[in-house]
Amino acid sequence: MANVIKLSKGLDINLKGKAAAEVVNAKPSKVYGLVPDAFYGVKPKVVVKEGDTVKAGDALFVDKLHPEVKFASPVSGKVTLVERGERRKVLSIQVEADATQQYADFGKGVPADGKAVLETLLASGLFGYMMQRPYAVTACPEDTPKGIFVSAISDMPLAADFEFVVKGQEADFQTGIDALSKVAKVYLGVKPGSALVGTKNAEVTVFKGKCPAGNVGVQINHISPVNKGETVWTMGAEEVIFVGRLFNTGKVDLTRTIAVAGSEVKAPKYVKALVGAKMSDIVGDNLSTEKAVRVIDGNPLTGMKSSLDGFVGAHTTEVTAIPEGNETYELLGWISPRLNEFSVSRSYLSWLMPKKEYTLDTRVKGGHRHMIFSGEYDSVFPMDIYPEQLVKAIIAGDIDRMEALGIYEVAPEDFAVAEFVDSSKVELQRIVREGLDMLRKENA
Amino acid sequence: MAFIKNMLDKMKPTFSEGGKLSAFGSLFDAAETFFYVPSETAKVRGAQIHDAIDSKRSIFFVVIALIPAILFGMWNIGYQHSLAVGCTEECCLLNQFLYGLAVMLPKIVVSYAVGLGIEVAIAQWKKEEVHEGFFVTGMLIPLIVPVNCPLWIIAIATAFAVIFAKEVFGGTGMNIFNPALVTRAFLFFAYPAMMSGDKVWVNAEYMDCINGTVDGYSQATPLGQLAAGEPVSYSAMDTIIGTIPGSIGETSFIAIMIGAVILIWAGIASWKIILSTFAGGALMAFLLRYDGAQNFEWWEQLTVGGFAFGAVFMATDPVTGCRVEAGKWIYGFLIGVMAIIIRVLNPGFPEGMMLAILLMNVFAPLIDYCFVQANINKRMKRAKVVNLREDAISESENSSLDVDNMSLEDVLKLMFEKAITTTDSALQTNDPMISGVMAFNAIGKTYSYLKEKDKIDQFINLFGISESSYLNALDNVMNQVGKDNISNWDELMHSKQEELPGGIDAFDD
Repeated sequence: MANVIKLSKGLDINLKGKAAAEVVNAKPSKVYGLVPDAFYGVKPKVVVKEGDTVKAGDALFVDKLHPEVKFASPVSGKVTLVERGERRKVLSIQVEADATQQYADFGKGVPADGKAVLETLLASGLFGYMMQRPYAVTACPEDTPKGIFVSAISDMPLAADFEFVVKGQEADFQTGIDALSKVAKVYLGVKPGSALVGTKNAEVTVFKGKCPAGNVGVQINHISPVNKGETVWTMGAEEVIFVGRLFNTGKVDLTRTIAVAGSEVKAPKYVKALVGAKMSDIVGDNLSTEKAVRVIDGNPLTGMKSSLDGFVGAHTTEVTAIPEGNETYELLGWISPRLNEFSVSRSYLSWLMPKKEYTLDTRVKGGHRHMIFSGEYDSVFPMDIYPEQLVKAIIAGDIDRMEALGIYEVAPEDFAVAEFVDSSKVELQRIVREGLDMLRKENA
Repeated sequence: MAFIKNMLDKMKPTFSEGGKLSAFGSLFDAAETFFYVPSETAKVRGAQIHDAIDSKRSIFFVVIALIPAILFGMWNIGYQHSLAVGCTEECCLLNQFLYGLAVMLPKIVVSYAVGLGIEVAIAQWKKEEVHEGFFVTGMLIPLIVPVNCPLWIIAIATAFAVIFAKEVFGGTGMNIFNPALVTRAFLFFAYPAMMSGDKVWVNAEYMDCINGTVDGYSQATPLGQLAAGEPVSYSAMDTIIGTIPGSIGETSFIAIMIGAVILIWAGIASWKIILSTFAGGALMAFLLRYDGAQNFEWWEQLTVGGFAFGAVFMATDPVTGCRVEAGKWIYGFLIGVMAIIIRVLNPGFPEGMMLAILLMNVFAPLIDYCFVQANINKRMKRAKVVNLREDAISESENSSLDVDNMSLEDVLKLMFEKAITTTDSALQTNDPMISGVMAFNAIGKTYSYLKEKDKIDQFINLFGISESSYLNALDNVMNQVGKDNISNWDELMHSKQEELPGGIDAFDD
């Protein structure tokens, strides 16, 4: 039987507009765009020219430092635009889709040898979906990871429920795990009562607890913490299905079942769409137009502000829409009961209504301060790390202390709930990202 | 209420950068955020939603929790006054309260005006928002001084505390000492006559009650009586309800406990600190009571003087207290213990709470340090063991060994044996250079681990060798490699580096 780990710290934020258990196909986009920024830590080198034709699975760009790490086109068609921003930074590579899709063939069946598996993953561009700790960046194939961690729990607010997404794709998921287990030992985190508890070729651990228990970083911390000098790889659960499809069919099929959710979505549900699809084709006319809306590429805690013109990011499992709220003026907010607001503090009344679903807007709802109240981060940070002290070490730029306090084990997303509850409104995820980048540069 | 918004919007350009009144921008900003929740939205990356709690609300809840103590303190000023002039029967509750209000209000006004004035000026100078922390400090100050404390002294002490206890450290969130207690400490040492004795606890400014004089009326606090070795003339009920002389906010145990309930309910003060402070105080008072040091019921110690007020409102200051959850138990407990020790055993200080909290403010970072360091040591040890095992794996040809399940000592032993055999083969090989470097590397590695872990003595006991024989082994390798080559040793090592298992990092020590 799988190990069970109970986590007491954390916070579930009950937002309005959870996706209903219904899947529809997204409108096919005319143009698909692969955004290099979604693969954090990669220096993109574009290997196609405008006008080239590519098959689904052909590389659009590679990592400048590790050219063997390729990033595959989600569709077959003609490269229409390499969009560049300031200092010629690549913003997106856009491909106009053919009417009938052609796929590059990478051969069926899982090779018996881990090296061969890795080579296929690299050639097909799926290795680019592998992330690593330390530094929470796209993995480097030269490293020998001590394990590959997959979390099948999605407990961020409004996140796509992987238990629902995997239905009908269990075989692909198992094949994906089988293939990864050839490369390194695979650890799978599942929620209690999960159908995935019987997954073979992986060490399955059940995690019981509130958000962010589903974060792979939290799970690593409890199973096998990352020490200085060690590397672990992580892969999103849906990306394991990509790998499974690759070895079952020989094709790169980047179809995701994306949750379109949030209080400003008229009918929240799941949408089948390809990586790189246009936001407007996924959200469509499903968006409420009464007030200013923020479309988020991801969930409201770790996602990124996007727009209907944007492309779905490579690691995105949900697209959410919440009110912008910049035209809201609340009088004497520091003393009013504000029944529609959610808070961990019992100075509000949300603790009396645990079942209520909240419509939260994007306001920060307070002035930025130094850290004043203690224990706030700690109460929602289920890792054996002192989050406040670590963040202070990063702010101070003290590299030795960051290392000592466990920065190798964390990713910005692990601080998302802490950033939410912080009454001093410190931008924790930005600070942690800067700390990781600083350390990566220093250790390079 | 739209007119407030309109008014603020209309005034905003005047106070913004480049406006006529931009010098008062911080003040305007404070007013704007006082009326309206800021409408700033989340950035492109990072959390897109935020909790509705902010520091303003948390801080104002502390002020709300102080209200019972403030109201009772005001009434008690009037009540003590009417006791002094002997007119308790003629004076109704309302009169007593209004009398207290008249005495108290100027103190609050002075404390806020001086403190906030300095804060606003500094915020403007630093081009920051005004932080709301002083709203609590400014309310605490009038509550922890004797009723007869002159306004000008409060003004000086407040200015001193805000500037030297808070702003020089960087403002709210960065200070080391609780500013309200620094105010009191400043008064205590700079104007001792105004802060203790029997003459300062009953207000005699206004003679509105009956004819008669209260000049020179003296009334001792329970702690004053204890310090003087006199029997306490107040019943336990008096001290719990609070109808006794004392600093304005500290007398009523009940009013303070109402505040404690509000703070703990709202999750703003740490219940761990409050509980452990009382536990520490109770234990120490109990010991001293039955040790015979003091003839006063141990539990009454917790109801008199500033103990309860300090435990609930001062020790729980998150900025100056312990920030690690487990440390809060120790922090609070030691405050309780120190407060009672100072009270009972030091005749110079009838009250110990202020000094106990200030003292523990100093030690709070040390308590935090111990807990954080334990976490760091755990992580470092884990990392070191992992690296050591990895080296043992790579150094050992016999890879069938289950290094993962071996003890640290066994791993060291394995590495050392490996080092010895490598040395031996280095002595026999035709290419002494390469194998010599390898052997040196292997020995050097175990040696550097041992040195690092300060385990040389243990090692000697374990394997029955001495440090000098170890060094001899190193010398042998050096000789084998050839003394002539030592001059370009570095160069040679680097040229061979690629061929070596694990590199030559171990030479660094």
